[in-house]
Amino acid sequence: MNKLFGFLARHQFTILFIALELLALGLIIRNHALHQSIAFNTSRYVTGSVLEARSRWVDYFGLREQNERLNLENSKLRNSLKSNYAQLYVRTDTVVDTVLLKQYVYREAEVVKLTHHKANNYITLNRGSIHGIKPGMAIVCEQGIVGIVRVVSEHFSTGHTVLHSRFSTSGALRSGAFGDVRWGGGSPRSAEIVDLPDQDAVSPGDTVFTTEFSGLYPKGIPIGVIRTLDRTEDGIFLKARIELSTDFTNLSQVLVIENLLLPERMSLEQSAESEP
Amino acid sequence: MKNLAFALIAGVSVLLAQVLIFDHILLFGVLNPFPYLFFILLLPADTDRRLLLISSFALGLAIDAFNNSGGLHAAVCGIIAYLRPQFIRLIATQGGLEFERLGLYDLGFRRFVVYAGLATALHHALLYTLEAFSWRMTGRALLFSILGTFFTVAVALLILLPFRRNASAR
Repeated sequence: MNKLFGFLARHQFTILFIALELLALGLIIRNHALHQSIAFNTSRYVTGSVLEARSRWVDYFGLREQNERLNLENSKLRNSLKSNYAQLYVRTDTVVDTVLLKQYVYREAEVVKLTHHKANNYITLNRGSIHGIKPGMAIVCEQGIVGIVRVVSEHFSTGHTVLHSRFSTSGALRSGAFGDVRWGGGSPRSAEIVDLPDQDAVSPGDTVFTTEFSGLYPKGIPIGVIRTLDRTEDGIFLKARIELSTDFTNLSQVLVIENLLLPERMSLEQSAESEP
Repeated sequence: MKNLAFALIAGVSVLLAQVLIFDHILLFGVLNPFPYLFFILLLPADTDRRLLLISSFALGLAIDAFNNSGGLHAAVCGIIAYLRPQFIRLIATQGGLEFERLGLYDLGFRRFVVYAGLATALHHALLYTLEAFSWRMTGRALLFSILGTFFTVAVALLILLPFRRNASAR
């Protein structure tokens, strides 16, 4: 027993070192294994506030470009206003709208932290649970898709961007052909779409849009534009390199989307799967 | 006690500099400098090694909190702090020297660059290998470690060069 204590006393520094390393390794593994629980992350109060203070200052330098983008977006939105269209017929009675049901709610948010150069990239927003943000909501910007919310604290939320090894979503072309979009590492400007049916209809220059398959994104949000095609040998599916619509190197305003009908759809799909 | 207070103040300043400035500097659009690592290298030579290990680990953990990287920097910082005496012995054997302070002007330019370069290279190699967390991206890890080492050391030298200690004041 004395020998054991002697051993521990002599090597206490090394034992401390090994204990700390094991702790750190545990945190790394947890970080990779359970994406819902990053132990110390940028949505915590202290880290979030520090980064938010920084982006409040730095945002001034990008105001000009932000204004231009907003203007562009405004012109697009104004173009889609109902008042732009002439009435072709005159309504004579009152219509109670039972046809349209609001499905998607958009919440604006500011980017507090965003990386695009790591193997796995995260985004932190200045909106949290008190603003109604929940894990699993989609993040988009006026250019295209951005990512998915993963962890939420009271005032902040953190999520995967498209530039994350675990991000994947379905994307469809105008022709209806669809495949799986994922980043695959490398440049923050491009991603790949796989399992796309090999049809003549697919060609470089086609835009890839989101689908409603995952229930996260509304239909028709731009993901990117096909640049090069890579036909596989079986001739059934093809892989394509796409240039992402969203510029992850310059992003400060985003929208978080809530699908109001998702819970209903999930429970329906679950009960269908559990049917014998 | 004085060492503890010094390590605390230096640690917080280094942390803020890293997360507010250097995390946003990108070489070729992909590569961050990590001059925070010089906190570990520059603490006085007589610093208690447990204090050195724990404060380095804590600094790494704080950097991790800002980068969503779990315990990545903490693990690497712990290793660097643990091996620091070996690095110092390596440069000291060249003349049987003893150092109290480990600054650029205390060690002399060449000795300091060897000391800092070796430690930084190990730090970056461990960091990028652990970050990739798979054997698939080792090419990227290797390239990033090599380029990153030069970048970090260069940035650190630029910061340290103006702080010339008055020789008579020592």
